[in-house]
Amino acid sequence: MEQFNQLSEISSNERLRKLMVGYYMKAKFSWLTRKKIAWITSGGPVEPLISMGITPIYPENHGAMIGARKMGPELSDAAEDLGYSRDLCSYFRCDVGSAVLKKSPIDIRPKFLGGRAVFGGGLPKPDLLVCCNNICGTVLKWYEVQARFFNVPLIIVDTPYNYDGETTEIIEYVTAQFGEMITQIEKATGKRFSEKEFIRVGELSDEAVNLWNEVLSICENVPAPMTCFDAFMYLAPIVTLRGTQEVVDYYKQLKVELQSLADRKISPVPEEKFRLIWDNLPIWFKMRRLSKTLANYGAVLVADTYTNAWADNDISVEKPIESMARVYATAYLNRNTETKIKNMVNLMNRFKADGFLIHSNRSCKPYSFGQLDIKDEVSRRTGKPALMIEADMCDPRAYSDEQIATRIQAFIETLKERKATA
Amino acid sequence: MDRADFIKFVESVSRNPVEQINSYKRQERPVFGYTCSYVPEELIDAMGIIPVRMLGRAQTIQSAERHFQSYCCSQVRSLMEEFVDGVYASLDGLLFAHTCDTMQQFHDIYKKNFPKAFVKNINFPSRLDGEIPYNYALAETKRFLKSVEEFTGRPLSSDSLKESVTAYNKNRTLLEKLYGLHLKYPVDIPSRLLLQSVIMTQCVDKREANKWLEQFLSSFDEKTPEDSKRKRIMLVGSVNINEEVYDLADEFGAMIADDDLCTGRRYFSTQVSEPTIEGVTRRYLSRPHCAAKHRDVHSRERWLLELIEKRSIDGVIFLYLKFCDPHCFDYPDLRKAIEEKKVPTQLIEMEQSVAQSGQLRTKLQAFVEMIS
Ligand code: SF4
Ligand code: SF4
Repeated sequence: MEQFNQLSEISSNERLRKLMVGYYMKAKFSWLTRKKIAWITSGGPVEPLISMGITPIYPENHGAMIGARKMGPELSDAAEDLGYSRDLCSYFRCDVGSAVLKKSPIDIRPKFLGGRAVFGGGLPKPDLLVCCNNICGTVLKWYEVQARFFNVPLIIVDTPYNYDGETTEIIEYVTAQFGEMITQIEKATGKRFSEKEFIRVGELSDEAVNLWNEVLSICENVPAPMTCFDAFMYLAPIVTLRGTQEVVDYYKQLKVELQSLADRKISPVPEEKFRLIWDNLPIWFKMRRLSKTLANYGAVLVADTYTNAWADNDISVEKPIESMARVYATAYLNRNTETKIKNMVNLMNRFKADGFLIHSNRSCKPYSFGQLDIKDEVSRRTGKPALMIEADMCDPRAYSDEQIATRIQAFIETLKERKATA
Repeated sequence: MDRADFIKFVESVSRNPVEQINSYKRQERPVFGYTCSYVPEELIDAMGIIPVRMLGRAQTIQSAERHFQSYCCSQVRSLMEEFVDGVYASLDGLLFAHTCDTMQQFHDIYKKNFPKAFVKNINFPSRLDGEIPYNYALAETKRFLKSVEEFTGRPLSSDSLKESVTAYNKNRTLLEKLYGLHLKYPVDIPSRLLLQSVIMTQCVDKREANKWLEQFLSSFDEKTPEDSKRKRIMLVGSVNINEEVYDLADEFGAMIADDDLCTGRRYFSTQVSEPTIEGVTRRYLSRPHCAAKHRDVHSRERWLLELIEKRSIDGVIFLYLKFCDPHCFDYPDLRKAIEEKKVPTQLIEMEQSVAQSGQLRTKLQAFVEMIS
């Protein structure tokens, strides 16, 4: 796992690495432990799975790893050869490409087997697919494709977009589906659901989410002790393993370490001049370069809408299923554009930002359509400038370093002028 | 009325419904635009409002550039262009239904830019299987209806719903009949008339549309079928307003025999079996579904293969709008399933209302030759 912060002081980074390697290792060897594998979307209801001893696997997290390792074009080509359009989400294309080619950053070669790639690269095969469309309609189609490819059951939790906010109709619908989902999981895996265990997992999940929120909030400090490039890395456990004790322990340690840096006013950027907010997914294949470019100008990404999407959770003990329905039905990307505008304005104020960077992401249409209006509106409400850059989270083929560098430079000039006249 | 009048009428309305809308406005009848065929039109009609289907026809995109990036489908981009340019300014409201990510964002962007407009969305489920989605769809339909009732200031009456359902069901029967007669009279009923007639009925009061259709279709009652061995092509895609594909198929001696399009069979398939809100809701859940919806992982494949068989289709053209995700996802598996039945396929990607280059002609010609 790549690290982007220059802060060797964060010893929990090693813990993160171990956590993630261990997670994928265990998943790859699940046939030994007879654990069932469920592939699940990043915003999907993982707590029931964990409580039933099923290993959740996140193709989107895998997609991010593929992007960071710059394997996007090769795997995407394989999907395009099958007839999938290059205009589809690159996480999907990479996932299909990886399943077909059996290539991936996850390529476990155990020493005791002479370092051979015994099972081929890629994610362990699913016994079950769980798709929650609270992030996009893309995953619905994506999981249909994979359900046909692997010929395994597909469970869909349909969480209608909050056009008019959170309606009782939506909550009742999602609640009913959770009941149905549990029965379906029991049928597909032969595991039994226990409400007690579910509540225990739900509490751990809540705790992890709260800790994650606190970790992100530390960047309200000036200077910020980390940048979003770090947060994008620290995000992996909250996505993949929330609901487990290890994750809670990891974020506890991370929080302490970051807080200590903040107290001592240590920043990953030599001199913090501009504080910026990021919108949309990271550009995984350009993390290093972008973080350097920005650091050179003393610009720090102090918060973003993406990692904050996992900072909200509340599974209550009294009505566990219904409260879970509420959490998943109102996930960040499932909220309407006006709510997203308010959220961005709120982030700008909370983190004392000087401006914001908008990643118009060709892959992610629901996240990106609306950004042009969001950009104008957030600027109008906060009086801060914005820069929009067009890219893709995994596919570098339409990306130009020079062009982006020039645009960032011009944006920094704007910020400088504003500071000078302020 | 003779056949030529009908042909003239459907041509003018389907190409430019604005005049039609304005004539309703002159009669002081309220008109709502709707962007998706999952909007339960019967309910709108029964409230005395004329629903008119919105299909982006803008040739070039300028005003919409400020709201939608280049990687958005042209159906939405050209519609936004027309809205910003005031083409549909005389509408009393705009209705959305939940389908794809792009349409979803379009709703929000439209609402943001036209804060005074009456804009409602029916949050139709993405799942269509079983009672849980049905219960939700019913509750949501009632919520949606309430907001329309607020607009008209009076509740839906069950009598007018009955009347509307009858008119809509009749319209569906007539379009079905048109499709059937087209197979027998491919010269008198050129392929493009399927497309134009469906779009016309989407833009005209159903009673009026029915009158036109009925008269036109009855003119074939005593007629002996044309002797035709034309190869039968089926179109599959989202929305389409391109007539050229239909004309080229005819020109090369084949025909567009059927389709799975939102501006075609998907619009008129499946009757409402009971003239109640429940009955209407059931119809929208059980009709052949759009690629953005889920029944089961093979439902669209099954439906297409059934149609191919029933209509003795010789070849399938996937007619896609660029950047239309739901359909692009389905394409490889559908192609495979159809080709396994020894039916050739062809993919054509285009931009809505952008004039096609010579490429379309070449592709169509090659495809017709292939299936002949
Ligand atoms: S479309 Fe966006 S939200 Fe959906 S899987 Fe792709 S990147 Fe994620
Ligand atoms: S279904 Fe396709 S054509 Fe229709 S709005 Fe969505 S992306 Fe555009």
